[in-house]
Amino acid sequence: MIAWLDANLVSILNGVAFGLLLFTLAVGLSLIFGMMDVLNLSHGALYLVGAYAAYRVVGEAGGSLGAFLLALGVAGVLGLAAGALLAGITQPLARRGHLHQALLTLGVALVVADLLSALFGDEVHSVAAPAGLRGSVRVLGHGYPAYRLFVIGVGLVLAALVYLLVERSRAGAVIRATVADRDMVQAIGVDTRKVLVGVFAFGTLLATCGGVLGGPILGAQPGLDDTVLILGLVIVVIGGLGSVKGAFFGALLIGQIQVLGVTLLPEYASFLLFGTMALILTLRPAGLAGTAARTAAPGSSG
Amino acid sequence: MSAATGPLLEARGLRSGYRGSMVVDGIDLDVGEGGLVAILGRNGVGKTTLISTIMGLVRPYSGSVRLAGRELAGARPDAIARAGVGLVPQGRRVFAPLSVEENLRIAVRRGRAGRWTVERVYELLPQLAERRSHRGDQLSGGEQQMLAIGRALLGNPRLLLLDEPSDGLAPAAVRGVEQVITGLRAEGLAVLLVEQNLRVAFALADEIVVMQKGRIVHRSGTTEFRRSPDIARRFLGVA
Amino acid sequence: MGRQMRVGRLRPRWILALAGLAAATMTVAACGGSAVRGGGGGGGDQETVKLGVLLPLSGVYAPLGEDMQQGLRLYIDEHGGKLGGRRVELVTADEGEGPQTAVPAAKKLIQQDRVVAVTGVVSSAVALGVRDLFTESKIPLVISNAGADEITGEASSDYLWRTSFANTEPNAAFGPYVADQVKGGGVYVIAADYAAGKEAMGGFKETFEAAGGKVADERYTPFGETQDFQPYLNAIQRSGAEAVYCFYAGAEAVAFVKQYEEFGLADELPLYSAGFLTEGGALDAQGDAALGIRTSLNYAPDLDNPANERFRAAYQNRFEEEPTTYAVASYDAAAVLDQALTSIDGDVTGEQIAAALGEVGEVDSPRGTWRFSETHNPVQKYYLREVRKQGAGFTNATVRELEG
Ligand SMILES: Nc1ncnc2c1ncn2[C@@H]1O[C@H](COP(=O)(O)OP(=O)(O)OP(=O)(O)O)[C@@H](O)[C@H]1O
Ligand SMILES: [Mg+2]
Repeated sequence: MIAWLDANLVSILNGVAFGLLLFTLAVGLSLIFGMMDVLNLSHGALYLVGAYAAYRVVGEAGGSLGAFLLALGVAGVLGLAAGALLAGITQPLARRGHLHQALLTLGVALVVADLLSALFGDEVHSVAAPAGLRGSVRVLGHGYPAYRLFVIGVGLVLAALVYLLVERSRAGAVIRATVADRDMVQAIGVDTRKVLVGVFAFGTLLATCGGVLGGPILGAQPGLDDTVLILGLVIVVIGGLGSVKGAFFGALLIGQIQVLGVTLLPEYASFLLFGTMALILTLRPAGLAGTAARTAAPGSSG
Repeated sequence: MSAATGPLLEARGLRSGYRGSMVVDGIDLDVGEGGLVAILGRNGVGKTTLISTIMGLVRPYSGSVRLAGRELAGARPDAIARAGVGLVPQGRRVFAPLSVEENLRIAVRRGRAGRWTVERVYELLPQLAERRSHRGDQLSGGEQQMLAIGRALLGNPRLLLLDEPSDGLAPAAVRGVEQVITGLRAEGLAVLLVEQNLRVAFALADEIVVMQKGRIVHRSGTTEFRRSPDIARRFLGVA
Repeated sequence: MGRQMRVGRLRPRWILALAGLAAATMTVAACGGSAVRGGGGGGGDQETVKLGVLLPLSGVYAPLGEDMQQGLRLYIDEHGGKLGGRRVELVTADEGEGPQTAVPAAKKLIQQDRVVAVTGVVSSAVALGVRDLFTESKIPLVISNAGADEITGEASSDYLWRTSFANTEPNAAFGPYVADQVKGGGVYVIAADYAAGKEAMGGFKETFEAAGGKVADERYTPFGETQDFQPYLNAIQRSGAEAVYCFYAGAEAVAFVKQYEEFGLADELPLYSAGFLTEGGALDAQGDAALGIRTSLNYAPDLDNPANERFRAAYQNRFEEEPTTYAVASYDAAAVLDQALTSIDGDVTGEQIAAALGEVGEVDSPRGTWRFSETHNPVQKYYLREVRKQGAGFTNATVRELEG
């Protein structure tokens, strides 16, 4: 057992890093879908916007920690603006149901991806880790990239913050109340349009900032938007809609499967991801953290 | 403006409904400052729709709703709430996944100090204080009703809309609700009450209004109404 | 194949198609505008040939397509807009990401635009997919990238020619050198799981094992879906191998090389590969992580010969970047067509060009001289290259020629 752990330590750690990176993406997707009832298919494209922001500001050769923070700031502003805009354009379609809204966000995704291609070309770009986080450190006798440890730290802090915000703060209570009974929230004097815009903007902010965070690991390139969107959707399905906890554990699980699963069962690398999803859906149709009622609700209005 | 002299709530020619249907069909209604008007009527005559229209949850087709002279018809519900209207809806509609405390906290309007605070609500409704951390859906019917009232008060309304507050409650709980409403009136709050329980309506209201098919078919002072049981028999089917 | 990237992902077509159209218009305007006027002016003595260019203008292969267009344009412009004394009108069509886009585009070039020859083609699937079309239409296709061995093997045709390479070659050329370097230690072999990856590894293992090399283990990673190579890198570290031989291109090459360094393998196990690993844009993205990697390819920007000296200076001057093997292959495609057209008198047909291509002798190329084999593949030298710093960037510096 000890020997096994030692042999796979780096893989396990790496699964955690990858999972936490995916969490930043999936939690926004899950909140926007679970809470605001919009399946935002432009989430992957927004991640890519963040990745290209990191490429442009930090660069391939390497930048300071300041440049990295600047990239986060730029991506954050872009994310907030995109979220507000998306909330604005999807809202008039709310009565027509999920499909119309999802198609609209898909259209946005395609246009954004093409604009990025036009701006940055179709080349693969990488992003340097910020100064001080380059190179590798020893973890229990194994070499491990310092930046990925940083991602683990940031991811855990972020998960805690998102949890506190949604489950413990007043704003989070307003959001959950809005999910439960939108009219009633209006009747106590809250402009629910602002709540919608706020949740959307927060979710897309996490996506673009996730893109910056993931830049030094996954780089910036056409097609990455689809890849991360699919992983995000799998996590949302596995974790249960609108659940921060579900997104967290779903992301960690997918992280381990993508890394440890491939290490232990390399022949099944391509199959593991969707195999896991199918298995979980069979055992727990509403997802890891979902209750049947919660997932049934959004579906019934479409 | 005649705000100072006119009634607090003044509805004129109000029409509304759902997707073209006419559920509220030309209602004129006044509630005076500090007054309590009770709306009676059989099931489905449009009482809740009238309340919802005043609150802005259902858009009026035509007509006007003024609060202290200010036009509210067509405004969004949150604007109407901020203008001073509080709603205790039929079925109570407490936020089930939120704790009692959260239900109240999100109803506090920030940046505007008023008479009501969460602490004062707990003082008025001590049974809620004991259940602060329980989820909305873990409360009894009576407790939910108190929570819905407390939640509405935190908006510091001038007019409270109460839609069948005694519905489905045990007699003791009904008496509790009555006491609370009486206390609020003493503080000068105006109330528009929808009530099927005649005893409760008689105990609380100054004026009784009877609705049928979206219209007001009778109105009179409470004492006058009690003296003419044939009206109640005709419109409400009760003795 | 050169830089293969992810295929089959959802991509919007309309904006790409527009961009492609715009690019095509610009290319025609830049290279063929005057030729059109010359041909249509009725001057009589000024003959014009229409040459088709089938390259990815959109999608994952577009960066490659751009290098190849640049090489082609440079040659034609250096020769006054003429090939074989005739004005050239270039007609560009979008290869896209595979046969679905490329086959109709090729048909249009042949049937509608009536070109006498076509050059380009990045994807091997496309090259094999249009083989019969070109053979039956008797129009020569001068392939300047697609590397499947078959193209100049079982599927060879009188009308298919190639100026780039066959997938096995750069790898086969590298086998003996790697065997010599590891001196009996095992080499871990890893590649993307698709046709080019398999061909590359086959080519390497054959000469490597013949030279006494031992394969420690062998692994193929899902093509186009692998972002995180750490699990594979972990397996490599535990295998006890003393070096690694890989085949990756494009996005996967960038990820593999960066992670190879991040997880500390770069310090312990030398990495060898065919040169596509560190060619062009991939090298820029890999940056420091690629330093010291040794690769095998038919070209390096610092090759010491007069043709390359001229070519490299002109290319850098015009496009402000180092030339790549992709640019050289299409530069040479223009060169062989130039030679072929020179030998033809009067009206030009595809059949005549194909026959004349067979008579092309030594090609004086920036990569050194080469000639067509019996099956129309270049017989050429391969070079050992090493990634070194150059100014602010990085380059593949020539170490020496690899012995065939
Ligand atoms: N959301 C809605 N959509 C469509 N029709 C509705 C809606 N709500 C109520 N109605 C219809 O409007 C009419 C009046 O309903 P309303 O709820 O206003 O009656 P009510 O007098 O409050 O009845 P009750 O005493 O049962 O509460 C009914 O015919 C009802 O079916
Ligand atoms: Mg009702």
